[in-house]
Amino acid sequence: MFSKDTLKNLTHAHTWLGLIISGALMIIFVCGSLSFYRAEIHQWDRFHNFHKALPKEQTPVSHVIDKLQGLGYDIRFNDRVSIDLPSENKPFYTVFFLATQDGKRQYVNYSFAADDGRLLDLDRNQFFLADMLYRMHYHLYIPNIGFELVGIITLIFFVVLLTGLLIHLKKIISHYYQYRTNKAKDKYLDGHILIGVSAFPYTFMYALTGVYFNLALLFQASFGFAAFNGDFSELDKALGKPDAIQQTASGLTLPTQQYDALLSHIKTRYPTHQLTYLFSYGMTDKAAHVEVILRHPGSLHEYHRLRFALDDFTQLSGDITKHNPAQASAATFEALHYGTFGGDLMRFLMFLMGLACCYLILTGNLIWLEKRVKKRQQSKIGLRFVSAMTLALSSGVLISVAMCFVITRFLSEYFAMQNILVPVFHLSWFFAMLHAFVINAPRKVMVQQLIVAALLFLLAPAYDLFNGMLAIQPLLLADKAIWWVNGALTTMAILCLLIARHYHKGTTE
Amino acid sequence: MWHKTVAGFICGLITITLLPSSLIHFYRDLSAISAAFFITVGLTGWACIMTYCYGAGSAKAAWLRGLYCAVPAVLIYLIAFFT
Repeated sequence: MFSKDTLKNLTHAHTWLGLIISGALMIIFVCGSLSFYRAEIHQWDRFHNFHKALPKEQTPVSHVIDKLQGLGYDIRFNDRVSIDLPSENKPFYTVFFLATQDGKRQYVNYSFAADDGRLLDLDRNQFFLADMLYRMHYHLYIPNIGFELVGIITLIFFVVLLTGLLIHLKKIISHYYQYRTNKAKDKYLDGHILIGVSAFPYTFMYALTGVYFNLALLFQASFGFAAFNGDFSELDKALGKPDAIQQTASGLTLPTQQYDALLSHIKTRYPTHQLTYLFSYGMTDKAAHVEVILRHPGSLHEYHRLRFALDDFTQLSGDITKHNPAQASAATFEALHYGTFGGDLMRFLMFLMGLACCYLILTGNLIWLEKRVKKRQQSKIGLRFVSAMTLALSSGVLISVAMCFVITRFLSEYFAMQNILVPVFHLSWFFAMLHAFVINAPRKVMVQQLIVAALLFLLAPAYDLFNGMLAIQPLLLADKAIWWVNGALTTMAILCLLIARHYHKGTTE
Repeated sequence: MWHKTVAGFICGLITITLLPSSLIHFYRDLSAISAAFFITVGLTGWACIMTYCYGAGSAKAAWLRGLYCAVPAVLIYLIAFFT
């Protein structure tokens, strides 16, 4: 099918590219897989500080807006006030907006109880773990260029997938069930190929959607110049983006109850949808407009964005998703990437597939490292450093993530999570690198680091289980979100232990 | 290897940008469908062109492979732009 030279070039590219991006890709996949449970991690995080079920009778949104106006902030007319409406996983209102504080414009957030609208002593930033994992997976906390860098890494990941597929294409069916256990090297390679081939449709989808999300700005700009001669309003029209609505304050005030009437109007029009977010532009001014995000669970087009005038509920921009091909493609990409359309089982399967990609990275790195050790003509100290770095950015990343969960569960009352979680994440893999550098035996280091990661992953679920069983906090056992997160952590611990056992056997053989 | 990467990246981006753009210049009514095509098939095409360049034996061969894809796309675009 391909000449020997081409296959050799492709194999070289597969190894070289895979190794370069493996560290960042490991962070992206571990944090991204856990982000399937982002809402649940929020709930899990908050549990020891605050917990309350969603009340049957909820205070209307107008009451929250009244309270917000009572706080006396100067909010500009076209500035957005975001209201995250109460849900099962977050049974209270969260409001955030841009305001001037101490001479600086910055985001302020407040939480209000869903039953009586009282102000809660709850800083959104303290429950930072879920957001940190989510942001880590798309910009790695690298300032300015992180977002685009992840896009390019994803594009290279796409190429790694295609080169891997082409290398193995001829034997894709005949060798699918091959799993040689005689030699450790063959075993890793067969495992790498087996998981790689099985997970290909999933990894392909993630590579494609990832490139789209992170490099959209770059290729839309080039498309705007080439197709529309730099007329970006024409490009926006082709992409189906709604026109920007510029309005000025009228100076006349509407009653806040107008918000309740608008929400009940939307609920009547869309009875099968859930209202999740409300964005207000202009608060209670007569010219104010309101954007809402509706969720349609179980649908490929799950989220819908609609904009209304607050005064007479005129729809200013509608649900264009179904009518514009580019928007429909983007919405489908979003649904596939988040995996929420298929319910809890689908989400768990996608979580497992994300971990399967981590297995590909671990085995790929180990195969490369062991092959590299056998080459004679190379700098020993250089190899030792590259080996330590590669291990730290594969098994070390698992320790970093596990450490963040442990710190969040045990030390959240003593430290501001927003300040310490990112440094803890980076320090953990840095120490893993030192460990690998000192020991200088790739497989042994990986086994030890996987065992440490497994033990750290198990700490928080064990603590929650004992707390629940000893009836210190019996609600712990009754909360579905907490079960999901602890289940995901236990699954990760079991997988780490299984891989460690597998490698350990290889070492002893 | 860096040459192969740059050749694939640049020639891929040129090809996948100019082909749907040419379609828009020929048929203005198809702008929405071309944009969708650009998002879905185009991005996969970009990765395919990069892979094609990595299959080359040398840096020069990689640039040539990249240009095999980019030059026809540029020519089609120029014809579309000036007609």
